[in-house]
Order: sequence, then C-alpha cells, then structure tokens
Amino acid sequence: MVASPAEHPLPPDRGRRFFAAIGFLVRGIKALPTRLRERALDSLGSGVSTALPPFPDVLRLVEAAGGIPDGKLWQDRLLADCPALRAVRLREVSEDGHGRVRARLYLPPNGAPKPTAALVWVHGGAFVLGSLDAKEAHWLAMELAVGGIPVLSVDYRMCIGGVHYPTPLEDVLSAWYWAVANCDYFGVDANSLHIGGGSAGGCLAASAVHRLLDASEQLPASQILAYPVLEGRLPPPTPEMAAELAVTKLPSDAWVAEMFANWSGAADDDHPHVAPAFADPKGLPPTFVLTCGRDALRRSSEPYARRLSDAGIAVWHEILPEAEHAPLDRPGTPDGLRSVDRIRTWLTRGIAGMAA
Amino acid sequence: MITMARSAVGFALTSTALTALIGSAVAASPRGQSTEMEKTVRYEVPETVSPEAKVALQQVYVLLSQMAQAPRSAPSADEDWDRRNDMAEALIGPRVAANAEALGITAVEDTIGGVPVLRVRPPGHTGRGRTLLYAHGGGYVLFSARTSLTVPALMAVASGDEVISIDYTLAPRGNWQTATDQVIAVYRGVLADRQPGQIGFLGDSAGGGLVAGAVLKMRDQQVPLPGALYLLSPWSDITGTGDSYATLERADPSLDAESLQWGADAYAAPADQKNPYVSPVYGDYSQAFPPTLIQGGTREIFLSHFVRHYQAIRSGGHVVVLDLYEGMPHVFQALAPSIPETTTSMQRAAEFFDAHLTQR
Repeated sequence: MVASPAEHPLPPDRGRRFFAAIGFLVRGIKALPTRLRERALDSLGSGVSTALPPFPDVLRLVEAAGGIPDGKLWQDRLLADCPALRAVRLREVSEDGHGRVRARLYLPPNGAPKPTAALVWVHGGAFVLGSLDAKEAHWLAMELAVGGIPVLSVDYRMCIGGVHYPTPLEDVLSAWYWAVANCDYFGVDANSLHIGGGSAGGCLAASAVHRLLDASEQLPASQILAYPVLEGRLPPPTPEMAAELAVTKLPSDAWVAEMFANWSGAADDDHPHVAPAFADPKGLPPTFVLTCGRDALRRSSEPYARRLSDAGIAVWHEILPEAEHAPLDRPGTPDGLRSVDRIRTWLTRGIAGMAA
Repeated sequence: MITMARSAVGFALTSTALTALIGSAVAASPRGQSTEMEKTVRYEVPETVSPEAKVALQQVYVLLSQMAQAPRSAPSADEDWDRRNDMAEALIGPRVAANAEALGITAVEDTIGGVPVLRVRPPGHTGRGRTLLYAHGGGYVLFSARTSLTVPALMAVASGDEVISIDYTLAPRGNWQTATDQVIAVYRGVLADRQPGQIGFLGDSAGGGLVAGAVLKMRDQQVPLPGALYLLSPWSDITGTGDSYATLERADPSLDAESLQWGADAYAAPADQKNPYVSPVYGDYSQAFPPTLIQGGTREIFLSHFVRHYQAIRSGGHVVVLDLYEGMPHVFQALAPSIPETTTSMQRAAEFFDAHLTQR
C-alpha cells in the first residue's frame, strides 16, 4: 500500500550534507584500533540528546556512518562500580533458523534460585540507533539478571538504508520465538516469559504482542512499555502535561512524525502493527506503562494506558514526574534506578506488588 | 635461551595449557606419573625426530609433565573460565610478544565485519593481493588473537602474506553459531577487496575445526568459497571420537579427552556436537569444498581426526593433502617454532597456498 506524501513528511533532499560528513567521520572512528575507537565512542556520549537536529539529518548521519555503535568502556566502569554484576553470565545468541536471531542472554549468577520470570527486552533508539551494548539494553539486563531474572536482549535491524517495517518487528518476533523454544535453557517455563521495550523498543514489543494476539499464539505473561513510541502523530497535550513539558527542550512533533515515517516505510502510519496506539486492546496481557513526565511521548502513552484500562486490561501506569525521555539510558541516576526497580518489581511481584 | 623461551611460548599455546590451567583446588588423580603397571611414553621424545626437535621437545615435555601434576576439575562458573583464561594469557603473553618480535612481524588491531581482528604482517610486506585468515586454538575457551601469535607469525613469514587473526568470542559466552558467524563476517568483510580465490584460511586445533566448520556454513549460505584451507592439528570432531583417543592416550604429552570435553560442552550442547559446523568431519563433502592441507603429528590423540577428515574430504573428490610428522605433538609448530619439522611444515603450507590461491 503506497503512502501519500501527506503521511510521509520526509523532505525530498533527505538530510543535509554536513550531517553526512559527520557520519563519515563516525565511520572513520569505527575503523580505529579498539582502544582508540572505544575512547572516541565513549566521549561521543550516549543516546539521543534533547538538542536534536531534524530527523532527516540524523538519518543521513546514521546512514553515512553505516550505523552508530555504542561504546563499551562504560560497561567496564559499571562493573568497577558494581562488582556484584560480574557474576551475571552472558551468552551471545546468533541463529538463522526461522528468522534472524541476534541477541544476548543475561543469566543470573550460578547458584541463584530458579527464576520466576524472564524478560525479552527490546532497546530503543528511534529505530535507527542503539544496540545490545547501549545502556538502555545492557544496564537494565545486567541489573535484572543479577537479581535472578534472565533477560534476552534483542538486536534488531535498524531502519536505515531502505529497511522499514516489518523487518525490525520480524527480528523481535524471531527472538521471542527463540526465547519460547529455549526457555528451559534459562530455567523458566514459557508462561513466565515477559516482553518489554523502551522508546522505539516499546513500539516493537507492543507490536510483537499484537502480532501474537492476531495469530492466536501464546502471549507473554505481560508487556512492559517504558516511555514507548506508540504512534507517529502525538495527540495534543492536556493542560497539565503542557505545563510540565514546557520546562524541557523536546523534539518537535515533526521530528517524531518523521522518525515514525521512517519506521513505517510503505505501510500506513496507523496500521495496528505499526502503531500500537491504533490496535484493538482486547485480549492484551497485563501491561506496565512507564511514562516520563518531561517526555513528549507522554502525550501518547497516557491516553494509551487509559484506553487499555477502559477496555478491561490489567494496566499499571506510572509517571516519573520530572524524568526526561529514556531514564534507562542514564545508569546510576535516580530516575534510571527507579525505572529498573519498578520493572524488577513488576516482573517479580506483578501488579499487586506495584501497589505495595 | 631463545629456544627455551620459544618452547615455553609454544607449550602454552597448545591445549596442554588448557589441561593444566583448568586445574583447581578440587583434587583429581594426577596424570603423567609412570609406574611399573602403567608404562607410558608420553614424555619420551622418540629417536626418529630431528636433533633440534629432540632438544626442544625434551624441554617442553619437562614443563608439560610438571603441569600435568596439577589437580583438575571442570569449571563451574563463568568466573572460572575467565580466571583460567586470564592466567593463561598472563603466563604466555609477554613471551608470545617476544617471539613475534623475533620473527619481525607487526600486529595491528582492526575491526572487520564488526569483529575484532589482529592484522599480522611479515617484515617487508607489500601486499601481493592475497590474504590469509586465521582462527586460533585453545579448546574454544582459551587464548585470543594477541596470545596466539606464533602460528600466524610463522605463516606470514613463510608466505609473505598478511594473516588476519580473528578474535572470535570464546565459549561459554560465545558458541559455535556466534564463532562461525564471526569468521564468516570477517571473510565477507575481506571479500570487499579480494576475490574469494585470493583468500586462504588456516587454523590450529579448535581454530582448525572452526575455519573448516565456517567454510561448510558459508557454502550453505551460498557465499563464494575461499581458495584454500590449511588445518594444523585440527579438532575436527569435538565429540571425542576416534581410534587414536584410545591407542595414543598414553603417548600424547599435550591433550587429554576429559578436559577437552569441558571446552567442547561450553562451545556446543551435546546434541549439537555432531553438527558439521561444529565437527566438520561430519560435513557433506559431495559438494564443493576448497583444496585442504591437514598437518599433524603422530603423537596426538587427534590423529584419527586428521585421518577421518582427510578421508571425508577425499571421498568428495576434492584436493586434500594429509601431511604427518613423525613423533610430533599437538600443534608442534607453536611448541617448537624453529625446529626443522616446523620449517618444513610451514614451507609446505606456503607452497600449498601458492598452488591453490590465485595471484592478483
């Protein structure tokens, strides 16, 4: 189905040459010897900052760079700060049986009690950034695993170089099926497998659940949507939201729309598997929605949580009042630690445990 | 002095180090003690090897027999594997570096296809347009490109080509799928500037099994095959199957089946160990396969691997050479880099690549 220009507002010149130049610079950094490369990536900083260039520029940069890797030096610092995390067992997963599976399994330390829950986790990054080594992926997985919850962190193909929906979603589903097929390896039965994601990863996780629902397949025990992307056109803010959002510099509505259009590609922006906000909530598993108070995406996640609740789905919606987008990208911060803690509580004690 | 150092370097590079270094506080019955009841020739150097080999191996075997006294048990946690690998690398690191320097090679870190590699170049390397890709040994659980420089250095000097050593992720963190994927990713990366016929693969011990398994996987993925394969004492069957495991059990100074099994189980679940990508002796050789040179010694429990692998490839009608060395132990080239047997074997390997790789 070909989308009309009105639905896909990417400008025809697709990003300015300056950003392509920066992208080539990053490509050069990627080719450096390990030590230099890691130091350069470390200093580049993390995630999507609030001082964002227009999305087409970001895309052009990422494409010129051939993808932006996440530095790993912060992981060494994490282990130095929290030596207990060294006991987490890491296993790389790479399979091309029924679909492409690239993931990393984070297993609890040897001798930990049998887990009661495991999580398939999908990192975010506007569908064009992020990796298994991003803080949002690796830090959360380490923290959950050291506490006894196995995590399968999923690496999916980015929407760069002509890749769009459904490719990343297919990768997430392949990883989900792998988890179901191999759950005895990480010591849980399939009924105790949960799914979740942050930001764009939240979109992918929620879409995966709808795909499973539509195919009448076994659903995850729950879904965790952390500051999720759910649609391309953010609903207008309520007056309360507007007041809180006014404090921060946010990506523009156009930025979000263009980012989303790059994910949807030729598909409609309101297709239920593209935009979970448009999917029928009936039959969804228990859902934990974590909203950040100073995040533009709250304009989407708050009404979404209410819609699910109205439809009779067991929902726990929580707002971190002054948090900016993606606290899981900021290990050690109060918002980051609070997010990890609430996800851990959700997985180990369920909706009842959240109210305690 | 240098011979001694090189021998020490060599010994540590073999799976013997695996045997010795994965010992722990839990006592197991030490091996390596000859009694009246149990006559072994394990640490006796045969008369038929070169005089230089006699000297070099004698020294190495003294060390090996001492190491074998250490009690051994299976590692139970990732920390165990990490610790043993750290010990292994600390032990041999400086000596490997010294060895490489003596050979005059340069080793530069790089990343190809997202995989860390070490580019090993001989002195005066001009780049004739051929590249060799190497995967190191260590039972899939030990060592790294940096601490496995001896064989690629010898190869670089003998061939004049750059040897790219692939730093694949060790088990248990990595596994047979990730390791073969990483080898293929590096290969695809190199294919950007080379014809497949200009690329040769080599690997020793576990690395030999890995490159052979990766070639079978490439073939199934319809990736054009490399020009030639050179396997040094390859671990072609990690299920521990082979007549020589029984017949040469008391003659192999380096390897023992039990400790090899620990590495094997970390690398692949028992149900997967007969997968051809894991144990290439089980590959389907009725289809295309590159010309292959297999070298080994007569003092290896792996001897049956070499024979079975050779016969398997031969039965498919491909070019395959089995080049065995009298009285030599596992990856003798790394154990004793400057003995005549090593020089001959590396020369033969260089000639094999000359015959089967295309020039620029």
